[in-house]
Amino acid sequence: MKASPNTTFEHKQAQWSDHGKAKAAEYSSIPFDQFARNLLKEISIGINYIPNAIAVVFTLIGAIYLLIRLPSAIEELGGISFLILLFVLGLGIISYRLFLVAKADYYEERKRKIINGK
Amino acid sequence: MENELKYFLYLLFFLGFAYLIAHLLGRKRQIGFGWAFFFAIFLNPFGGFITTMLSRKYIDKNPQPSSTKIILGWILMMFFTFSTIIQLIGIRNVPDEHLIGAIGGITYGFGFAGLGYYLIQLGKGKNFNTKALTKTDD
Repeated sequence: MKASPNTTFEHKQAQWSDHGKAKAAEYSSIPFDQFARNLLKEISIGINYIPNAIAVVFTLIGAIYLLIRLPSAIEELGGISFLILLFVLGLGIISYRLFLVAKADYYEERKRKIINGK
Repeated sequence: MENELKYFLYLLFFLGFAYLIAHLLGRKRQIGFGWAFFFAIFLNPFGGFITTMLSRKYIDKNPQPSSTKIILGWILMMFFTFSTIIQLIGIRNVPDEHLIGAIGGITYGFGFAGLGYYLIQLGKGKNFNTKALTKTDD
């Protein structure tokens, strides 16, 4: 028998509520020194990924700028502006790949330094 | 004389920036110092920076070969090798005022051909930086 959407929603809500309460209890039991150490560790890991963020932002800005310029380029250059479309596509793919690389490295570094480091 | 000094300072800044990218970023990644420096010089520091950031810090000890990278690498290498050769042959006929542009074109051609070779090696699962951290050892 299939559960109704309302029952599923209530069940999920109760699950998340319990999870939230358990996490709140866990975090409130952490001493302040430990919390400050964890925060510093998180910040020190996050700082390492500023160059990755800059690279993603640069390529995204490049792709968006070229996309905005595309209609006027089509009027001025005609068929050759197809190359600009290829550039937009390339920059978009590079931007996405940069994001994937940063995400994978961040998870791995966090796992090593925080989760396994405890 | 003033122009020569300007070009010299520009070159110094360019090389310094390329070295910084390779030393601070490339050294800690799969790409390694050498390739990061190569791309920062031949694809300009911005191209080098993006290529370096596309390389992972944490890698598998035995990465899976990728045929997509190998194919893309061959296309880049063949296209830009021929393009660079043609530009080298034609450089004698380039007027002086366009010489710097022509040299720039050859430099980029060489850089993209290098990128093709790098992608082929990467696709075969080669690790360029043995000092880079791997997923299995800490």
